[in-house]
Amino acid sequence: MRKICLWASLLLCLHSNLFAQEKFTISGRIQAASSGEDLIGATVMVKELQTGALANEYGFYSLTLPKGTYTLTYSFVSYTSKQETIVLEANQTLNVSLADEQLETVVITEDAADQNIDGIEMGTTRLDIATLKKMPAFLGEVDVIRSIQMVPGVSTVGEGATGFNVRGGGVDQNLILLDEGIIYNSSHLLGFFSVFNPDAVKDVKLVKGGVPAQYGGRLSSLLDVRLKEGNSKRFAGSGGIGSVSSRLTLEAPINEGKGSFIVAGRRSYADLFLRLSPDEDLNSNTLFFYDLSAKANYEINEKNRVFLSGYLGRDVFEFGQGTGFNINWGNATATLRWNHTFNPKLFVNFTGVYSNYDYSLGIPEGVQNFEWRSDIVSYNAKADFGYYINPNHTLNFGANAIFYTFQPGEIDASEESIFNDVTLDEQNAIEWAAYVDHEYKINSRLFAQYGLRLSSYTYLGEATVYDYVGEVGERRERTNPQEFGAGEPIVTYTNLEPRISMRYRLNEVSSIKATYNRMAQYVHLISSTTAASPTDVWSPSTKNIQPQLADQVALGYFRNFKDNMFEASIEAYYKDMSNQIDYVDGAQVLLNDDLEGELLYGQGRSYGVELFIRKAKGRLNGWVSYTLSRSERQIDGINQNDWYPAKYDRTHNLSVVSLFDLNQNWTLGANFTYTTGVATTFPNARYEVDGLIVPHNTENSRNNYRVPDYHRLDFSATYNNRIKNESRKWKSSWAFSIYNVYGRRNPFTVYFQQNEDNPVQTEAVRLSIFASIIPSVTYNFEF
Amino acid sequence: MKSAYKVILFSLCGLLILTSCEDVIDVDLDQGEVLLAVDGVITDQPLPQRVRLTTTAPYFENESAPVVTNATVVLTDSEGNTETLTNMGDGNYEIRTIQGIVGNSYFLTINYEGETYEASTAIRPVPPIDSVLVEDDEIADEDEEGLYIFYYGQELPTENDHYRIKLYRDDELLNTPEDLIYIRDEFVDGNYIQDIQLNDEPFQSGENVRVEFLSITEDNYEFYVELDNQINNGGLFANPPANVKTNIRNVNPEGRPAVGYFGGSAISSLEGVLTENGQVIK
Repeated sequence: MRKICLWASLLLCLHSNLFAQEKFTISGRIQAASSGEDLIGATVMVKELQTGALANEYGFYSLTLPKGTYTLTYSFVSYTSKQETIVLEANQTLNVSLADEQLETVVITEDAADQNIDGIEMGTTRLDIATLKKMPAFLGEVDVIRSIQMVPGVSTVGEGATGFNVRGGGVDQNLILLDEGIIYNSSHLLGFFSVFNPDAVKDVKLVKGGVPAQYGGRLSSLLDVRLKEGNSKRFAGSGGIGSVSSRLTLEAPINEGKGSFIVAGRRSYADLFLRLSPDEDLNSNTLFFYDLSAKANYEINEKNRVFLSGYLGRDVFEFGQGTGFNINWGNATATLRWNHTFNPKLFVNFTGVYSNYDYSLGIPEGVQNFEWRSDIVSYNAKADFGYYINPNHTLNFGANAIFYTFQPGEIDASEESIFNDVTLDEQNAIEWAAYVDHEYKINSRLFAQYGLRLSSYTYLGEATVYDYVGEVGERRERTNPQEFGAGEPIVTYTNLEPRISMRYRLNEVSSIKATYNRMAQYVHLISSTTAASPTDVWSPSTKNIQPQLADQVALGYFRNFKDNMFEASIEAYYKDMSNQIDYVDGAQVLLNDDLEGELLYGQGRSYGVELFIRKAKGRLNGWVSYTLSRSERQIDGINQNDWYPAKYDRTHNLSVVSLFDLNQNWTLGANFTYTTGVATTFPNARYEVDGLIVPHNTENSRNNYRVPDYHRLDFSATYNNRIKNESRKWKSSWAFSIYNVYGRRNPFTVYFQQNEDNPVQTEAVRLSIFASIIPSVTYNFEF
Repeated sequence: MKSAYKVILFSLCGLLILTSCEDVIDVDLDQGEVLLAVDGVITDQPLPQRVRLTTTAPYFENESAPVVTNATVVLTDSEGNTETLTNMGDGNYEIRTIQGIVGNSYFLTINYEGETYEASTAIRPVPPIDSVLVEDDEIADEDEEGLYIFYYGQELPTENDHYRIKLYRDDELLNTPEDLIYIRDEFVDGNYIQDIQLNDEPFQSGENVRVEFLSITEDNYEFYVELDNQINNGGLFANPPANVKTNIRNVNPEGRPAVGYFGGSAISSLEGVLTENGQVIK
């Protein structure tokens, strides 16, 4: 039925097009004047018609209007708006450069500022890198993922843990894209820092609900990180020296601004300090991470532009030399994109992506030598079309195919080693999708975006697959082996994923929005520990592991106050998730041929209300975010088959982010976070076995208690060394930051143990990861 | 991974004024119903042996577990021998006639407060310990100086073998949660095992060390995995706390459950007085 509606409306709009008066298209790119960077999401408004368009991810816009004379206003947040008068008598191209606000007087137009209420997006937060850089940063490292945890609906299993949880979803349910390349592990240093170098990042968008049909493959969110294109006007650089790492970014035009490139690197140096330590236990250790982002783009002609981007990040830990233990892991992605404008109304982007996550651990020498490797490799090809029919109709459509190879684990050991070689079978799968999506401005009040995504997934041989039998909640045994040859399809899953978003504008200052989306996820992170670890492996959907599915509805009220100075929204959501994975007690999830026998399956649900108030203008700006929510799971075999709170269920989640421009030189910042403690299982009894005291819960409960509440205050002060002399390009700043100002010992977990000195005595122990006040200073520069 | 994580955290702590911290806090806990707890093992060692019955207690009871003195415990083996264990009146029930033999299975029946519980286990073969090597840790901190014990021995050619290792200092079992060592042969099947460090806390020269290498069933191995998860539960990458499995089953599935384990082991051991770095005890 939905399908029919969609096609009917498509026909309708094409039809109406045929009978319209003579029309022409104005299209082009919206860029920053200073650097030539494309401005994603910049707006162009037609004063006479009170309509407009948004620039896409490549800064491209297209407006088809009846013949006539128009006043166009181009605007973007923190850029000076620009007006152009055009006489539209034929198709024309108009590339527009907007000046950075800091350079000229500040003019923010109404049109750009009411995006909160006028746009169709809900459950969506766009983070401004410039703001992130002024916020207090943990150990001075500006961190995209940590900052995301300050927006409503986002929680985590604890401080220092990998990843983030969106509206009750697992860490593997976030589609993290870096220039469209899939990032499978978003953390450095076990989760303390994220893999994105802030100097190279241009735009960060988190979509928690109402995900457009263009995106799929994960249940809970889309984190779309776009790298800068690089300065196409002049050679420029930036960097910083911090307590944890140093950064350097260089960018320059190619062929007189026809293109540009950017290279950004970052490396931590805790290990350089370690070497200085007199303690041999420490100074023989190596411990660092690095990442390198590089991107180049080139405009072949007005209709064709290509982009090549790559990311390489790695963490390396070595404990002792030779016979010591070492581990390293990292992501690598490469993306090739080709923007092509078929005609001024039809924009297409072709993308080819290679993504890889792998880890290796082992002991290089000695009788216990071994090397254990695991990886996930994916190749993704896609085509995304934008057809800008007229200001009221935009059609997005496209298709993509991802080919995955999983190596769940293999061990190589030399002849002298006590270990045998082990190789688990490689797994292969292909996932493809096609989508169509229609943005339809029905009238001045009602705006709809609706679409359909058809996704299909096939698990491919070569493989031997089994059925697993056993009691519910217990480890199950393999039976009934079935052989499949190379490339032979083993099982196929197909899902129709409808996506609908609606905006109804109540008046000048407020609107209501509603969304529904269905999402399907075909690959799963197998992680049986509290926090995801770098050694977790991704698993494809198989004959036994079904794709995860989620349905989400959300309703929101959006209102701006005081001439758009304050943006406010309240959203309520309900999300229902099926085929959620959990684990039998004592599950062995690594290097296990029979992994599927260790898995339990069930459902999840999550609901809540999110409140968000942002003060966008003025010397004092920032936001307050509050979420009241519940995230629960029901898995047969756990908690007596009853619903129980997810680990990351946080009833209350409050964040306050504030920045204050004290004067020309100083910006002060303060963040405050308060959340309900994570859910955990506490015992109600103990017993003795083998002379050890074992905590026990006679109710077989899961997550029946809360660790104490989490709260934390951070301060920052940024000193900008502004030099009056215009010709001097060198700018520098100092960022001082104090994390956990009042030194709260926030518990990551509370666990139970025997007292070391008196084994008969048992005690509850609080583990805090960052238990004290942590100051840092970072020096940043730009030229 | 757990220890790697500790090192990382520790290095960061020391050098970046980053402090993780563990401290004891007060927690209010509910009190669960009282269950039978079984702690017993039958081995190929000389009789008598014993099965210990206690009950669960509130978690913060901080006294030895309450003993069960009013149960009847019957042991049967796969050869058809039956013995009612002798109630010693202190929670211990002694096995006096049935000898543990490699290859046999054993069945335990407990009648307690109107409920009947059953458990079964088997004694699997165990290889001999070839030797242990005694070594100094050259780069140890002051408080970690002393002698470390390393295991050497041939693993059995059969697949799916599981073992536990116990270490005694001057006849006293090292038995803190960190001392728990249990292994499976999946990645070392049939190999000559070398250089497995057995102790975290060093021995000193002059002390007597005894190493016991015990065969255990696969189910018993899984019990130790879950026990370890439950009693060594700190850290970023801990497993969610979950009840440790038991092989004690109430014959009435609706009846009150029990906890604990009844295992079977064959034991190889060797011992010697520690003298110096490089010493080999055979």
